[in-house]
Amino acid sequence: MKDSFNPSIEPPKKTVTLVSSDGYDFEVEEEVALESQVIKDGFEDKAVDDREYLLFNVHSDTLELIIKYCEKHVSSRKSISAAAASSSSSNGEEALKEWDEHFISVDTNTLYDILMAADYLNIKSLLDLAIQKVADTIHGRSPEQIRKKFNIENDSIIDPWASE
Amino acid sequence: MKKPFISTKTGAGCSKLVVRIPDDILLDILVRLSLKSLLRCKCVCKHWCSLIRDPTFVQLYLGHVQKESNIAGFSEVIACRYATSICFYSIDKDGFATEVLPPVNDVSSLGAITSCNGLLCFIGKGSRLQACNPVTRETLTLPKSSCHGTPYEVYHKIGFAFDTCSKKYKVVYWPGILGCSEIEVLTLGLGTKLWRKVQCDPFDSVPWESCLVYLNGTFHWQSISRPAVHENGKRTNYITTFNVESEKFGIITHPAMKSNKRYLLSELRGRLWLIESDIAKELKVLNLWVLADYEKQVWVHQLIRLPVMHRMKGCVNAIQSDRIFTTLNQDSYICCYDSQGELIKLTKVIGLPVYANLAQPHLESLNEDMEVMVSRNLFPLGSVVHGQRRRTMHSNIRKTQIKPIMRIRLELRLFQVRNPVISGGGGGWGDAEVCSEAGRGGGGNAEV
Repeated sequence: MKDSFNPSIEPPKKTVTLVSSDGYDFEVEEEVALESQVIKDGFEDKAVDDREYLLFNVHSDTLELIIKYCEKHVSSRKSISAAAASSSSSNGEEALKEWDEHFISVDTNTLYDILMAADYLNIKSLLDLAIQKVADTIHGRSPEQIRKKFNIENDSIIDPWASE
Repeated sequence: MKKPFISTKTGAGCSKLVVRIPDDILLDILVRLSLKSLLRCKCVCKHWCSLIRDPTFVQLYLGHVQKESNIAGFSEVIACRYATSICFYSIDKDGFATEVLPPVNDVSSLGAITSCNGLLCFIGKGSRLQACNPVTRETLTLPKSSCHGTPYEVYHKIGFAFDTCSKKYKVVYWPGILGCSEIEVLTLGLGTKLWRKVQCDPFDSVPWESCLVYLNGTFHWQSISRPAVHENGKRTNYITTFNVESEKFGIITHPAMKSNKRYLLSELRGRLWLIESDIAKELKVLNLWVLADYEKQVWVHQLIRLPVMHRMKGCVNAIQSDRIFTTLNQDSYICCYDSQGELIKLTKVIGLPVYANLAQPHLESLNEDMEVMVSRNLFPLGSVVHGQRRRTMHSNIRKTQIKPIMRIRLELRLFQVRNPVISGGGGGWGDAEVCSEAGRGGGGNAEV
């Protein structure tokens, strides 16, 4: 988002600690953590040395992925704006899109975890990415395939595909 | 960063994934799906079905589709007429037309096509009125009106509307004969199987277009008075209105009257539009009038500059949002304009039959009125398009269930463009170009 939260702070970089639901600590750079709107909202109120966030709903496996995503986005945003400043042509955005595509190509369970975590942490771009991925997964599938894919119990009265 | 050694997740805890997704996220997912996918999703489970059927979702989806359609192609479906067939195509943003329904053959070459709220209504085989939903591929043949079989049949005009108050489709049938003092109204859905006659003052005018434009609960059509009516013996153009609810007639003044021009009445963004067209001359500029103030009848003149390379001779077929569908010689084009009337993009439509001389944009619908009509057995189901065997009512319902694709329609009411333009009709606009050869205008590329 905006770099205004840590203006002109060069090393040592400020970090915050994110604690996953299963008790693992993740130390991440401040601006990476600020990708989450939830963390950002309460950020100012917290004391500098008390920047630890307990994420009860996010498992460490998922949190690792989320952090990976945020780090990538923070760094590529920097490189894109740097490229724009020096007016050199850059395909940074496309590369990022490709990276996103690759990042979200995960199995259904992981996708679900990412979706829920992105919702919980309110990371809009990631939530959007995950939702689109689910929509793409549904697209072109029969109801039965969708049920299978997402493990949904069939309580539908009519089964339109039964006879096909 | 510490990494856990063992994953504490268990497989069992991850079952019923999407069911556990909160509704707000699930809605966000569903809204991104195509209509066909949504139809399938309705059959996934009860919860999904109830979400998709929910009016809130219909609204949500509507807004989404509306947003998307601004960047997508011309319309989901475009019905066009050539020679004695009505064809149904969808045109994508690159101008490629794909046939979405088998054509209806043996129709009057002057027959009208009109679209409202997800249903198309047209004069089909044997001059019978047919309603059709391209999504469900269901076709209903409507009851005969008493005007059927008259020698003036080709001049008959139809209006097709969805009354939001009563939630019913209404068809207005207008004999289009000078001096005629009644029009007929058919309400689809509940109860009435018969056409109801509405008395009026004898008309001293005949409608030009083959379809009546529906807006704000009122039908509109261009009329021209008989010479005798006017003092100078001059003909007068005006717009006649017919309110569906009150069944009262009215008049709106016509902003322009040039005898060598044709005017196309259309509805766009909730307003009435008139588009001037000339079949004899090439036009550099397209004159448009918009009825800015309905009550005070204030028309505002607008211009659209046509591309120099393709000064359109003749047929402006339909207008939708910022796009104009036009036929030049035997090819069709979609012209996109900005609000200043400058051409942004000209796309040649590939894959339409040549001389497709009448086009009716149509948007698909989520609502299920057609289903109601069919399942309550109000109308005998006409032969299904494409010369398929007639199906019994029962088997048709079954068919509907088997193909859930067919079961969702989008509430069309709130689309910007509901019932855009019909050209041609009684005046034989562009009919000189009708050719019985059913070739396809293939080849060629999109050009600007």
